[in-house]
Amino acid sequence: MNRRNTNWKRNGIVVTAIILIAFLIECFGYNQSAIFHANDSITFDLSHQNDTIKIENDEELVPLTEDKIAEIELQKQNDKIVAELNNEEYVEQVDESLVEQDGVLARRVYQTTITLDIGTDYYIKKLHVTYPTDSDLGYGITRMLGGIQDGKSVYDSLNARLGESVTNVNGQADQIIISLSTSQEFTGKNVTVAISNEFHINYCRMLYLIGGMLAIAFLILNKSLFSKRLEFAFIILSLLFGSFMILFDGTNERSWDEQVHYESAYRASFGQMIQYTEAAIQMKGLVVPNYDSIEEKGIVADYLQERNDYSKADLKYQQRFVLYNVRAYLPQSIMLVLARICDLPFSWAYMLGKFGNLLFYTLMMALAIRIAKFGKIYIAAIGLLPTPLFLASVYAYDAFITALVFLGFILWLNEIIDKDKKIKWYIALAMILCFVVGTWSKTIYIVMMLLLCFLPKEKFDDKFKTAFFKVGIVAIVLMLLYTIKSPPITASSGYDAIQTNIQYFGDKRVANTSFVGQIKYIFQNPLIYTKILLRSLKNSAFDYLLGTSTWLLYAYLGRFPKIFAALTSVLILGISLFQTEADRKHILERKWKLLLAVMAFGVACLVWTGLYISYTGVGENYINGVQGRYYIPFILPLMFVFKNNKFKVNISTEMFHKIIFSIIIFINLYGTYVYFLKPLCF
Amino acid sequence: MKDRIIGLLESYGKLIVISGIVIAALGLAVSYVFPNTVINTTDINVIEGSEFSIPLPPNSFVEYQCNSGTKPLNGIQVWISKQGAEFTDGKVIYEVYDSNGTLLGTGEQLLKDVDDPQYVYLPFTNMSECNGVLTIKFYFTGSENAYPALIANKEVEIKDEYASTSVNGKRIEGNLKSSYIYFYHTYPLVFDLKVMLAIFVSVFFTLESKKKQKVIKHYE
Repeated sequence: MNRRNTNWKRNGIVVTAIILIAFLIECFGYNQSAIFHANDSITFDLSHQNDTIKIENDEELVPLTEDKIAEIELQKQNDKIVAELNNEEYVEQVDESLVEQDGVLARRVYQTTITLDIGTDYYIKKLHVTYPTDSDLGYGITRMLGGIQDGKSVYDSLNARLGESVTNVNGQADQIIISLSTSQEFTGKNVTVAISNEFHINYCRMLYLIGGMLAIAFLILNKSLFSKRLEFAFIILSLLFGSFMILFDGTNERSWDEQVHYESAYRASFGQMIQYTEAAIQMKGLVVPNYDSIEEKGIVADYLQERNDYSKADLKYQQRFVLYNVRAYLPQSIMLVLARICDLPFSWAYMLGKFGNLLFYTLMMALAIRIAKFGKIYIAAIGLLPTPLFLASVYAYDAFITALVFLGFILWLNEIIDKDKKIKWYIALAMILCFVVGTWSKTIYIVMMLLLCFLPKEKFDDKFKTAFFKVGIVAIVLMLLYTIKSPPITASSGYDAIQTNIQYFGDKRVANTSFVGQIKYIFQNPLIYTKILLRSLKNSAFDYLLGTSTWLLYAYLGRFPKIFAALTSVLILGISLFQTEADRKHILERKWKLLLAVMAFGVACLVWTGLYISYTGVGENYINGVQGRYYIPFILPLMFVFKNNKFKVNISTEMFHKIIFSIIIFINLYGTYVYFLKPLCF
Repeated sequence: MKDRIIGLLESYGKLIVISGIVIAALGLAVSYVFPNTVINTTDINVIEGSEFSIPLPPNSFVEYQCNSGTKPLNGIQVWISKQGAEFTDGKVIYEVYDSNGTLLGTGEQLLKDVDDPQYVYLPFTNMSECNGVLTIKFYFTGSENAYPALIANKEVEIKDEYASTSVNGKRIEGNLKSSYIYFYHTYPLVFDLKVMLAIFVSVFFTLESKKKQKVIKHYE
């Protein structure tokens, strides 16, 4: 009891100290300019020019690219055709900004330079531009001190839908020069520029500081979780760093095809009648303004909430039956429903949907860690690396697949280790369901379920039951693989007629793709294709197995520097090769390692081949579209190939796990700060 | 608690698995016997602009020739305008003929039940026979002095479908604005139930026989 009281006291002191330190860092670190160089805000109204405001316009002719010229010609032709169809006379639309000069088509662009004289040395923390405009624009801010440029220019963009933008400047100036390009002459009407240096507690930064320090304190002070209950350590860190990503990224759609995944989750959150508010329509159309400062985050949230009126929603109807490729979004959809019930603002509802994905991923992975007889650290480490965690924190189905496939694999592995013990029916059911449900959205991974065909015969009552079980597994795998060619009949009428016409299958985003054409090419040129495949596997091996493309990529937010690839390589190889005493008790026979290696290689070949068929032009000598994240589901089995009892770790399990987690915490703190907090929420 | 759940699962394993198999099998049978009927609307000619009205006075008729494709046409959706008039017993009657002139199906729409104008769904009787090249004849009957009109536009090339519109036997430039209505039978649960059946049948072979369980318990 005394010990427990001491622990509570100690933890209380630590938490209080962390909050205090975070507060001090926020005040004296990030707000020091507001404390030591306090200034009142100044607003320049460009509608009323005076001595402090000077606007200069320069005209420039920017030659158009060939693509742009082709686009304009195509539009002219389309306009002619439409006029013909309507029996109208074609009248060419004249774009006055286009000028032909020396035989080259160029666009007239106005380069505007706005010089604002502050009059005194002023520390500019933020610069707020309000400019009602029809088109998005970018601008540069240059600080002048005593007539000389001070520091580098800062660039930002202004989204026409918001009509305002806030830029972090963080520098001293007595004069600011703002340069921008517009298609029409800039007059300054209704345009204001405000500079400020206010003391402002940034709640995102505070949460990061507190959370980051708590994670480090948790690592240092806690013993039992890192030795005996690794799944709880995983849950805490997964939810912490995942929540950071969700909160900081907010409504910015920066993941791969996030608008598509959001729409699927949104639709699945309704019954037969879908209510598309203007905000939801803009999200699925990828036209919602992105933000890159904490003030803009609030402006965008207000913008979306103004457009989240369900009384003005577009109504669409869908079948009640939840399609197979949409079921992976259910954790996200359920949270969207909850958000609607609680009448949350749109931006919070959007984030809550992402949180549903994170929660499901975290719980399934934690369950896998909990039940794994060995190799728990493999699951925890992979699960907490930046890319897998990022995929669990956005609208996507990858995390759903990864979590369930990992869980199914661990259930299988446990059976292999206890080879003399009969398999229980509920374990077999759980294993199969993990693979079947987990691969609904990406059926190619169902081949991993063929591992169940290699369960030893000792697991069953007799050889007949063994045979029938394995035949059943193969039948299920074949049934699901068949859906790649011929999706199951849905309730949406002609859809199945189009879908079964594989003659024209191919990804419309890439020219010259054809499902049937490419399969024919492969069968007609097996050696050529084998060369292409093996070359692709070889060239991408390091990057996709150990490097940044699989583990250190935050989609369109950025990629970690290559030095971090060295860190993840050491991490993944290290935990695969080195075994703690606890893990050394379990021996994985060579035949299983060989099976896992063959399985991983086979799935990799299928992934590349699948994209050659659907995403690459017929007969090309390269394979388009394969991304490192497609390797994640079979990396875990591959790591077990390296399990051995030769490389021993002569430190305690707790210490070994803490070293691994310290690297992971460092990588995540770096990634969250550099790619999320600083560029989006400062 | 965990041990209790495991105990229950082990005791009732056979019952649960067999129930799963039976439910899946029954579900499959019921799904096939009671399919889901879905209405699909295929827009044929709905382009806005350049519309004009085809009046439908008594003793006049409009014929719309079309091709339903491989599936029977379960109705057509056309614009009917009451031209500002009120109707009591006035109705638009439509008859569907095949390429040989044989009457396949009919229907009628009371104008007092229609807005002005309205894109009305007109189902046919004998829908299953209305397949292939069809001629739909529209005419008006009623005691009122007024008469309705059908709305067409100047489109003559309608996707890849053949369509033509005639008034009193004379072909006009342009076509009725229309959508074709098809019914589809779908079996949304069939695939899921097939997979469920395969899963439970596979899992059935992991059940330990009672004899062996007793032997194991005896030696334990």
